[in-house]
Amino acid sequence: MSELLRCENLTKKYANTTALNGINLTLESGKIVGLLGPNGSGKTTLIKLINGLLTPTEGTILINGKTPGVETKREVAYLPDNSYLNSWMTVKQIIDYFKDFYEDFREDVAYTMLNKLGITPDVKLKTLSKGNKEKVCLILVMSRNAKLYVLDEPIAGVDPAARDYVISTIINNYNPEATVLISTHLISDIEEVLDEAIFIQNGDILLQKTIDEIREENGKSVDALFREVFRW
Amino acid sequence: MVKNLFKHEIYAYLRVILPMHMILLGVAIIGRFIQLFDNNSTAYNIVFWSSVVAFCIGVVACIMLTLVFGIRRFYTNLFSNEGYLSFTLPVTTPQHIWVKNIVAIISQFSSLIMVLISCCVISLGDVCVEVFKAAGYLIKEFYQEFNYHTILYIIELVLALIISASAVYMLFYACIALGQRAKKNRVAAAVGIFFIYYLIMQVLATIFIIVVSVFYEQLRIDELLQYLFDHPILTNHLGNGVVIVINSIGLIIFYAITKSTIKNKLNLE
Amino acid sequence: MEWTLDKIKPLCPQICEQVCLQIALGEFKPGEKMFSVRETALNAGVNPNTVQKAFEKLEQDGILYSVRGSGWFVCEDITNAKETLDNLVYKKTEDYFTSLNALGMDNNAVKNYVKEWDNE
Repeated sequence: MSELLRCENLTKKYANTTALNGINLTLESGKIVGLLGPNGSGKTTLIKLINGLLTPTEGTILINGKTPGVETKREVAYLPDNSYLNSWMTVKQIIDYFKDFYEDFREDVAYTMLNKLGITPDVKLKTLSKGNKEKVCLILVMSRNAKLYVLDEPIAGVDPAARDYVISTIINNYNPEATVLISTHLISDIEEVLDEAIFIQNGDILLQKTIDEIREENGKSVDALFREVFRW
Repeated sequence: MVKNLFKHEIYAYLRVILPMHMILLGVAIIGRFIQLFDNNSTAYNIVFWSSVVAFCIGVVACIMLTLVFGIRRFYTNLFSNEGYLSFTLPVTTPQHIWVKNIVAIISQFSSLIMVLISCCVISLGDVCVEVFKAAGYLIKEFYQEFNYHTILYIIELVLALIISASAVYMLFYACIALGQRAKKNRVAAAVGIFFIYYLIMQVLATIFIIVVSVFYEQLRIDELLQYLFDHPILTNHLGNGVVIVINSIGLIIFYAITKSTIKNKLNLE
Repeated sequence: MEWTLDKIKPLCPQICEQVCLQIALGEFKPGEKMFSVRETALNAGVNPNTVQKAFEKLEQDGILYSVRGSGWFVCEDITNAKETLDNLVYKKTEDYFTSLNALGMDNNAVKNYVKEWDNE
């Protein structure tokens, strides 16, 4: 269990709001970690900072000891919370794109998963249903053999069958030495799959514990605790 | 990695530029075809001039759309949703900028060449031959006058074209990148920055003209002009040199702005 | 056997218990190979690390053993697994009696009631 991600006094301010308020956070490798918080709590901001899509106002962020840059992008697989693919591309073109840029991309794994879904390589992304498009995005990300997977709201707005698909795809494909960081506000669906939960609210980290610790200490599910903590 | 970046960038351009070129070529071929039915009637004239107008519009559109696409591509690929993917590729910011810039220049030149080819096609026959003859004659005259300098001029001219095209795109990139620092209406901010830049340049040019005309005597502009007039070879090189230097300076400044803004202030919200 | 996990209790002990039950009920015979950690995790809908921890705990308890490179196997002696089943049966019986005691029936009344129910 080595340290994979470290944030020190990480702060991000937007025009007139503070999205992250000097957080300190450490993630070890080999874990599935839930980043749990209501909308607007700073989840997506933290994720974008990890991926170098935002620059911190203050503080540092280290992935395997490196600040976000070309080196970390080789090792971090990111699933954004919105559709980000070129919709004019075909499935094959987007796979070639990933293959060309990510050395850790496993083409065969991607095609096997697509095949199971009945998605053919020559179909255009824009003709796919919303659900299938999201699945293709997930497949692309999980087909990488990354050190850190960062999934932003992978189960928001999907039906229960799709949710099970997402969860089993994650478990089936992540490598045991890698860490998966999943942000969500739908905890009951996913808490059994997590090793650790991080509660985040108004840009502060409230708690970082293992699921069994939370259940043991509170005698209730993480979801129940979450509802209690974030009641308004 | 750069090779792959070029590959996918060129592919994205080909998707749009190639059909556009084919349409222009098609308009040229149709225009030439219409000329076969020349019987000097009013109906023919209407059709003929319509085809000429359509071709002219096509030529302007081809050049303008290539420019617009180059600018748009920079924005959508880096700062819209696609940016989430582009900026998580293991590629550096300078690589992103230069690949976009170089492919944009290539596409602009390919459009220029396509326009020339289409012009040849629509004027295929006597007109085309005459134009080529005239061009050949001009180059011959030029060569007799300036000797090997002609080749130097051509090299300088091409260089000046490439650098100024690069600088134009880079100017738009810088505006777009700076516009991203606005809290909202980032595209409008980019346009605003462009117009402010344009205004400042106009003011500077006006000041320059005023200074030159006010201090005409003191600066001995007369003598300078006379000297340049007496040494045409030097003057031509100097002219090209000035264009190259000014555009290079612009290019370097715009690049520095674009790069540092993206590198230090990227905020895909 | 279907995996039934209680949402409010820690997961690792629950996995241990259920694996013991599966063995005690003969779903996995002594010496037989278990499903892999990943398969078990997928079936149970939990994290592979939790299953790994549970299997390691069961190894300490002498219920499973691991063979490097080929996975997890059930030990020949499954007394401990059977004990878990016995404990569970005992606990369920106790819970049943306690809940009916709360409804005003003493233990004898409960026993009579069970007989009556079984005859129907």
